[in-house]
Amino acid sequence: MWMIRRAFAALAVAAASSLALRAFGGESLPRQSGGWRPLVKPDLK
Amino acid sequence: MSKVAVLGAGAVGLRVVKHLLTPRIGGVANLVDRVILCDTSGERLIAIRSILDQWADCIESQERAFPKDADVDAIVVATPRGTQAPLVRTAISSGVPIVLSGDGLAETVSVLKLADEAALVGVPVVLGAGFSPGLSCVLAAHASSWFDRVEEIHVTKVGAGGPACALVHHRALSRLSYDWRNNGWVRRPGGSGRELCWFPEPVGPMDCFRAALPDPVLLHHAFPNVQRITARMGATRRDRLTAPFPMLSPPPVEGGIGAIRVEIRGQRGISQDVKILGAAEKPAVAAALVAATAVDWVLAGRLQVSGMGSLAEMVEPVGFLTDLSDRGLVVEIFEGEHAIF
Repeated sequence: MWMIRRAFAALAVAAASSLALRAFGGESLPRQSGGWRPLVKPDLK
Repeated sequence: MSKVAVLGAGAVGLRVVKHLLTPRIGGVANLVDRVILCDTSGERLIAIRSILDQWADCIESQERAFPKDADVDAIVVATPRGTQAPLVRTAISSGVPIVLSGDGLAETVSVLKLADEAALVGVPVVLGAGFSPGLSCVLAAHASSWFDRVEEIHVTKVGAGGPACALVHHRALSRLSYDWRNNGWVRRPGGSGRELCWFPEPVGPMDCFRAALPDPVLLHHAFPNVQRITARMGATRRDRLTAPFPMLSPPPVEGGIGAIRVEIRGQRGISQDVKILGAAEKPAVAAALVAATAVDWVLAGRLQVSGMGSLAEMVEPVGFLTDLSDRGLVVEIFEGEHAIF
């Protein structure tokens, strides 16, 4: 019984924290490095 | 000059007709001067008449699935799923080269079963001449040429073209996906295997999931020695939730901007490397560009393989991508910390 209570408590904490992050989390980080550039003719590199 | 039949007057077929008849940049002469446009819907043919008014003298519309007279130099199949395999079979028996723009897994497998028939007749059949499969296969072939040994190919796509394409995408998320892994096909449920992928702008980052996509089948045909080949599709929570159900609302006439991303992993010299190529465009627009360019290559006799195959094995990638670029399709490369060039 004690184990079940702890499991439920852990699930509740996980759900609450993910909900909080979802609701109040900030904007996602922009990409830190790299990016897209068009391939260049004639060899398309 | 040549006569081409285009089967299907949807978002892709309509644009293929336009591209085939529009003069190209740089004074390159058109190879096609006459198009037979077939569709089983007479209403559809009437509705698009005004769009194709400019080329009215060059187009003959027929309200039927297959042209009355098979005296054409190539046939483009851009019809909805379920109709493509019978049309390809008819076209093979007529001995006419075929360019198939289809993105359904089951349909692609059905068409692949006609490979022996096509080889016997000696007719070229280009499979998956669209955005993905299609451009994705050419990008895979192009990036593979930079490696000494290719070990993995991962294709991801997002977006759908016309309503028929949207329906295929909707169902793909609830069907089994087929990934090639270490000499065997691994079946996994569609909608599983979330992976965050960065597509070319303006699409950007998107969660992608396994789906019943034909790319691994076609790419394994072209690259039998690659150990892992996977395909994923961008989807929202709503897409995944509603995938097992019939489409509750009718799909839009045309989807928005979509994108593809092809990741190649392998060995270059003594080091492991990764290259990522991609493109962002309306899927129907890109698919039509690829199909029209494939028709040009068929008519010019530039295909490298006779019989049935995907674009990855049938065209020389640099030349094909250059032709696509001349038609306005921008192919991009992701340059991160491990960029080679």
